[in-house]
Amino acid sequence: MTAIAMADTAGAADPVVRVVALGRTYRTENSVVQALDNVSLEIGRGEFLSILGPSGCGKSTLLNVLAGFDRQTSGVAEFEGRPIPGPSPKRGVVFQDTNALFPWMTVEQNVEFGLRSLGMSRAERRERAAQALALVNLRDFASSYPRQLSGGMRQLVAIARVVVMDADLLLMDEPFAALDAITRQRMQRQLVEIWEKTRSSIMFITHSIDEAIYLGDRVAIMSARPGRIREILDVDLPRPRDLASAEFNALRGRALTHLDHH
Amino acid sequence: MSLHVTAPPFVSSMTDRMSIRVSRLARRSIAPIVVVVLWQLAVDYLNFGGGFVPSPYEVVKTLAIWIFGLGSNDRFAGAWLDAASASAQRVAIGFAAAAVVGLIMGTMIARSAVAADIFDPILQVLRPIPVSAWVPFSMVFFGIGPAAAISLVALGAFFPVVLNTVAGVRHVSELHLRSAKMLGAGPARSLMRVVLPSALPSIFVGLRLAMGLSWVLLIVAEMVAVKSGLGYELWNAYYYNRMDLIVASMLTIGTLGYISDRIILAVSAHFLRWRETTDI
Repeated sequence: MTAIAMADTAGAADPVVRVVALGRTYRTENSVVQALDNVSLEIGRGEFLSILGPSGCGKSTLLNVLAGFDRQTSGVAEFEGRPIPGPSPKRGVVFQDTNALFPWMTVEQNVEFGLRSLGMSRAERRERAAQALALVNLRDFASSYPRQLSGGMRQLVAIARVVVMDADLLLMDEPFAALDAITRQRMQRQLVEIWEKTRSSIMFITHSIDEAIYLGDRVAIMSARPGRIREILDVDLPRPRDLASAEFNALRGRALTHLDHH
Repeated sequence: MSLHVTAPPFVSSMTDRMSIRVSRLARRSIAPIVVVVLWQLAVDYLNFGGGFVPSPYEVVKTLAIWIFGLGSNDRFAGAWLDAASASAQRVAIGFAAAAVVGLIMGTMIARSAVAADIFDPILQVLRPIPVSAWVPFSMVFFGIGPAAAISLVALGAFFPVVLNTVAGVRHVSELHLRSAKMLGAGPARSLMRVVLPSALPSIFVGLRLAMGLSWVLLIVAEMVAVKSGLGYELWNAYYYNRMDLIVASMLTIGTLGYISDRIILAVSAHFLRWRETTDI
């Protein structure tokens, strides 16, 4: 409940992310692709924002701009009131690919990797990594290599390695898309628990309507070619949410009409 | 939440596995034993080689004298260790130099377009020239002596290392590079902890090829440009018409080559233990 209250008030006053009239075009040899066109949105402090859209709608481009991997061609993208200079541990990314962990490091080494740049002692790093692994319930697998873990567990480690950095913003690029439906549901529940404990802001990209509504305080619906935000839905449902409830179903219907539009 | 453990071995009990190992060893021994026996019989009864091919028994005897002396007054009696260690040292030094330079240069070429533009043309011109063609110049530059052999080994071992390092470093996953940046790693840390480890499988392929080539070039160089070592002994034995000693040298070189290959494999298995499979 508090999360929803926060999202309602925080959005305007003190946003973590502010995007105004953002555009990104790609030039190929004989065409210009408008990946993002006039996208504006804010992510409030502690807010969980889902971005829902079909493939090719530019949602990954938006994430890459916020992560600092890519640059907009027009408009403003600000994090904590400043332009985004490049990748930073303050904006942790969880990729869709379950092979994004460093396979030559153990789970613990993967989670500790970023802490080195924060100038922590070895003991401190170990302690923090252990806490982060406990948060995702993977403490017992600290000395395993990524290849020994299932896809879902790898994504949890990928979450742990950015949560451990005390990231203010988690950028999640369809992190559960490669997982089977049952694992996916379990991961969604677990992500909500993690978010409720860490209180960081999350931008979660997905093309699953249910996932977007189940997770988000708000759901921004995007359309493709050019990538635009069509509608932003408020999800005023208490967590954990019931996918079979009438309210959920109503939101699902609203999301569908906006997706169908084009 | 289940951990994907490696599948339980098909054969469960310890004794079963042992007996499979033993029977496999027995099967693998058949061909070598047959060859040696046929060789011995052919020399003894069919005059195989017309007196120029020593029998396995003669080879073993010569090898024993070469290694242990055994009171023989042969010129080479007891000299094996000196020859073998001289050769092994030259391979080790030449290979190590090639590995270090190849790794550094390969990483530079793969990471910097400027370095690639500077070094790549030279590499492309030099690479197709068989390194053995450099023997005359190795003697001109280093004289008759170990340095000639070491330089040849180093040059030969350099190419596989540098080329495989370039390939490995260039194939680093963009996902891993982004991960490193997003976790705050600078260029140096990214290089040491992400780029090089990810290139390691390819680098080890290069090191292994380089080690094989090192022995080839060492023997070529020692036959021509050095007055000691296994290659020298081998070529010298030819002048004395000691074919038994030649075969003994060949066996020694083969064994040392095999051991050095196994060492690289063991080191690589250690560093690549995070991988599902190790290519052997």
